[in-house]
Amino acid sequence: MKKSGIIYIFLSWLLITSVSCERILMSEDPENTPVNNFEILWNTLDKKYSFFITKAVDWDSIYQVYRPRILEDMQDTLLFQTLGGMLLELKDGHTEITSPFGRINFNYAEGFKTNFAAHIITITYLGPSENKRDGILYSIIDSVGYMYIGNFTNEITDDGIRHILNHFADTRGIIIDVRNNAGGNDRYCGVIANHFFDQKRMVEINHFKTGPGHDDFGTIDHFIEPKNGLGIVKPTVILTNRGCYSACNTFVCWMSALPHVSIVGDTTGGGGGRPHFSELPNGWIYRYSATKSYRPDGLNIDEGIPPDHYVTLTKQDSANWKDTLIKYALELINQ
Amino acid sequence: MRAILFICMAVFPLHTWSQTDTMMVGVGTGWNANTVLDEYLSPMHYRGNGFMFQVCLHEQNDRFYDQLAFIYQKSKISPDTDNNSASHLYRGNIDWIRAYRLKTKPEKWSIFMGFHFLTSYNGTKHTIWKNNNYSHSLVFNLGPSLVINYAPWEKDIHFTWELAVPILNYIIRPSQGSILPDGSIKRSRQDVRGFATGGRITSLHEYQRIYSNLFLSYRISTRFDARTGYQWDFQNYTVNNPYQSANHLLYVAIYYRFKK
Repeated sequence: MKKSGIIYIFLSWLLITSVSCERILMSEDPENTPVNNFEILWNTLDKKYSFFITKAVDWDSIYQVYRPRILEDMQDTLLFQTLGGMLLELKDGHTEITSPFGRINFNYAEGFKTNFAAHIITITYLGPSENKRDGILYSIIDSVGYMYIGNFTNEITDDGIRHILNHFADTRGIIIDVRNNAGGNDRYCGVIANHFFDQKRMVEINHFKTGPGHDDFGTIDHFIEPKNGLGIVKPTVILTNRGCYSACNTFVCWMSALPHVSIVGDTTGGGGGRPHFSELPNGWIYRYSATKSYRPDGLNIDEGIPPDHYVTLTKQDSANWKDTLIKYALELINQ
Repeated sequence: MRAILFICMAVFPLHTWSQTDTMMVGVGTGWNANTVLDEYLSPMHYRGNGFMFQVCLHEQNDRFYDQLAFIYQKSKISPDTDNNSASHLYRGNIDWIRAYRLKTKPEKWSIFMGFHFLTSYNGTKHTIWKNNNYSHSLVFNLGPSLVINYAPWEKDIHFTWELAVPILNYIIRPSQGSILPDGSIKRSRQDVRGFATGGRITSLHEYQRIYSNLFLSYRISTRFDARTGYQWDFQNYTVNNPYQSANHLLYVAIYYRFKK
């Protein structure tokens, strides 16, 4: 009895100590109140958002405007609109909030000319027996290879892109149409770009936050070094519009490092900061730009990448079921 | 992977160096429960449980106590919110404790004091987040250890409590806006070497850990021991993306004796 008593005391003491210590040492979950949700959102962005200085946003003054609107007994719908309104002040397509009531995000392409008509591409250039591989539509137009990449969300494999580029082997040039491509995964950009690089080149400078200050950044240069690529150096044209955003913008940035590549169309939509996700105590999910990216020549790609040749879709071409940008690209390649 | 192999190769010769009275190798499995606060992913605590597997080398005599454990854990953790947020947690530990007996005469109570070298990897993969869905924490700890051994009924059954509180640490954690650690970014390196050398050497003011392992061993034959135990491992890191982790293990193991 005496022995077992000692053992029980010993065991109990250790277990209680462990559990008690944990309660003392571990912080509590933040409370789910409107004020707390606001404070967490504001503070997270204050420490981690990457474009305050670039966009000349005074985040403290935004706090002064929005904090008084947050009341402890306010309705969730109103809280959602208020938090969303605060994020819209950043004018950033990568910064948004999602709740059961919907999603509030900045429309980066609003107010700009679309410069893209999908039905014209489908009927005039791809034809009835359209080729498709890994979500990429492709065809040959007047001895020039044409591919339309609508997103970088669906997986693009090396086998798939090789298949398409081999199909273009005897063409005079290649048109890569990324209009209205809202982005996806950077990795797929690399899968495609790999075949257009003949040597190692610096394509982007990434700025990562290294501290909570608005200007605490470190940089890492990003290179593309071709690995078993096809080494395509024939004239290549990339068609862009304001709907080219995020990973699409990154793709255009990388490809613009090549001397045989021309950008035709409109300035891209931007989205040069990699978005990070997080959540609030009430379960609402938000994201924000956590990095900055620059082209090696110093261009902040978050503001979009201007084309080498500004070309817009004309009404006359549209009426004739022609795409002005494709026409221009064909002329450029055939020069 | 190379780093883990290197550590194993470095630690094992030290471990098997000395003459021993008892040398055992054991395998075990059990259940884990985790609470993780990783502010790189979320301001919320993620909780959940899963399974664990361990391989352990144990040496002990009247002079010293030596234990080297390799532990692998996998679990699914989620916050107390209704947004379907969840993470897969992968955890790997290499825990080495070496302690020397304070009292030379064998008694029911034995107290050992020495040092520990703990290595802990915590990797999470968030099921919803994109871009920042992965988070890695790699920690190397060095510090004192205490082992209390209590054998109430001869040597057939005994209780052991291991306690380790690290003093010197090397920690690799994601920076504010990237999976890369601060040091890696500051030196403009994003390769494996940059990642491995991009961590931070720190001590108690920024990182606290308490490792407690309590187990009961029972000798079931001349060659085999059975073991059941409870391990509690708490970590708190306060720099940049703060990190807290409380890990509970309940396990059973079977040990084979190479030496009596």
